[in-house]
Amino acid sequence: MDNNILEQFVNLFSLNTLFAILSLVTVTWMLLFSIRWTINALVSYQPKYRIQLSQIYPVVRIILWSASILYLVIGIVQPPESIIYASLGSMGLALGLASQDAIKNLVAGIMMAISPRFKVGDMIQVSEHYGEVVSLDLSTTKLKTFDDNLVTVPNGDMLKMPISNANSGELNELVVINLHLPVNLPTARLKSIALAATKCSHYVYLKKPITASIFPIFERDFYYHLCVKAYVLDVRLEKAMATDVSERIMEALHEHDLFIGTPFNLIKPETP
Amino acid sequence: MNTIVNWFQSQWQHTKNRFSKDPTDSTLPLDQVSRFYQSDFYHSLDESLKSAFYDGALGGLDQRIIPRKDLDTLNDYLKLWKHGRNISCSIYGEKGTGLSTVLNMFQTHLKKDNQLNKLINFDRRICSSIDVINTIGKNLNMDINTKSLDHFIDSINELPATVIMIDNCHLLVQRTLQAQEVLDTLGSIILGSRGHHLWVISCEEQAWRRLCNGYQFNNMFSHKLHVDNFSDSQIRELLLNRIRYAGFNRINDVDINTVKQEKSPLDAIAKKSKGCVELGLFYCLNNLTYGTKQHSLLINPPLEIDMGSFKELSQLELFTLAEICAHGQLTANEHMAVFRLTLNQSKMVLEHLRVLGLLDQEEQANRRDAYSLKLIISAVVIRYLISMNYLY
Repeated sequence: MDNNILEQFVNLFSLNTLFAILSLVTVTWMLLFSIRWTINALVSYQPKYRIQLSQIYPVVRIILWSASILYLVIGIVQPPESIIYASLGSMGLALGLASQDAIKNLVAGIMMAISPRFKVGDMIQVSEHYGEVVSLDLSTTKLKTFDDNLVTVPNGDMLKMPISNANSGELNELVVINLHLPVNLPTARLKSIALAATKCSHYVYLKKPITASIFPIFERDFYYHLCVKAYVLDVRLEKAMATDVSERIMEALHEHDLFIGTPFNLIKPETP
Repeated sequence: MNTIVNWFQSQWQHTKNRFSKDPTDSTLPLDQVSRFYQSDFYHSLDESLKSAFYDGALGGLDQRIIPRKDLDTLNDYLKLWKHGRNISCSIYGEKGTGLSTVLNMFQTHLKKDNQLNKLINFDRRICSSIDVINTIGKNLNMDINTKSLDHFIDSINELPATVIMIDNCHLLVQRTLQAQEVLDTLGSIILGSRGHHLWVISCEEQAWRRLCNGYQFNNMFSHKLHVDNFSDSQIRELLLNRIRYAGFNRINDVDINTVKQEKSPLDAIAKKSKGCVELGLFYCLNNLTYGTKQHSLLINPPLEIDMGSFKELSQLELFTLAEICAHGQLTANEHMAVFRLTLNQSKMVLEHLRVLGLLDQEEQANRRDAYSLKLIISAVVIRYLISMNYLY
């Protein structure tokens, strides 16, 4: 019986069938490649819609590969039912035993493509890693951190871990800038200067609100904690904006002579 | 079938131009567009054509084409104000849509109507509260010894009821710490006196958006009027008018009066002009040759503008272009303050963009060091910057 199934199995893969399989895989791969190229081209044409366009590919890839495999089995190989069951049984057992994690990641990848918690282009925090999602593969997710490191996280872990998503599919993102300042500064003036200085930064997305809050904190001594919240034009400019805004605020405070008589008067930002 | 094939061909050409780094034979290099009026080809044209296709402000020749609906709307506001309504109005539109023309035409109408009026032209950046008071006070022939805003508002309310128009309000925009103060002062003056005076201001669209997004400038106005870009048919008519004025009566061997506008090459030019008159004038001149018959012109279909050179620009240069669009114009000193650079660095960036043919230096004596976007390519550049998320 076993020999019979094996013989049937070998007979299924004639030269023509193998050629058809190879052609199908090549066509699917080329199709996916061209879809990816088109998406990339569209992204460079309309960078404004980078995130929305980038999320198309992971879903399309799963659909196309599933359709190809289905067609390969039903349309090209056309195995008898007994072979299908026997193959599925043994493949399932082998794969299940040998690659539990790989299958887990694959299933997690499919689940994430169907119901995404984040998209390609989002800025997410996973465990201690914070960065932009650059690819959402079937089994792994790749993040690019601000240190230019590429962090690969298995999709299985992605499903288990809490993820904080900073922009949820939008190109702009809320950036929080914290500054610790001497407690003797006039708060109302400090707040208005902080807001005005933030609006001066060309990285700030002015369509969304900018807020500044001040509260005193005691740690060895009293000081003010100034917290400015503003949206950045593009998630990739997050750090540039944070630096630019904090420098502008410090410069503005120096310009308005608010640091006189405080140790901050000694720390003057280098103005160009 | 042909239409579908043509559509695919044009889309393919358009896509190729957007992604290709090198200009092809079927595209126009950007600097050829921006430097057209300095080219040998332009200087070899007939004087009659050059004078008819003068790229300055829209004048008498175009009066018939300039949309009257904006003027009608302003007249409606005038009536409401005369009936005692508190009106302050802003008119805004893309660079080159004729904002100043609308204000000038409105002023002519007011003069005919014997309505007291004053057109104030902001010809430099307004930098402080005192600057706002001085500029407005001087233009209204007021005694401006006062430094108190309340006193100034009281004085302005003692003047006879006037229609006060301010042109070039984009020069109020500035990414500096004083911006809020400047806008608050102007806002207080407008809000404090709009029961008595009718205020009308004009502002370029990108600057208007910036003022509204960052400083809620729109709250100061009871009415906002958007001046639309020119439609394809208006541009077509304008071009036909100018060709007639230059003394030509045949286009592509068809009598100018019987040219079926839908099939005319001017139709394609109007479409490609994206509502910008200057671009329409350029396309028309750049694509014409003299016909064999007397007073006849041959006009070829216009080519796509090659945007490849934009891909070579750095992030700072793209941000600079965006800020120039939003500020109307920038001097090297203003650029230095906006981007926190040294004066030399700012000059280098601005000069590089000027050399590339994207910027012009102002001709007015008091703003000679200011750089502004070349009018002829402004519509194209603004659309590009919006698509690249540098403008919003």
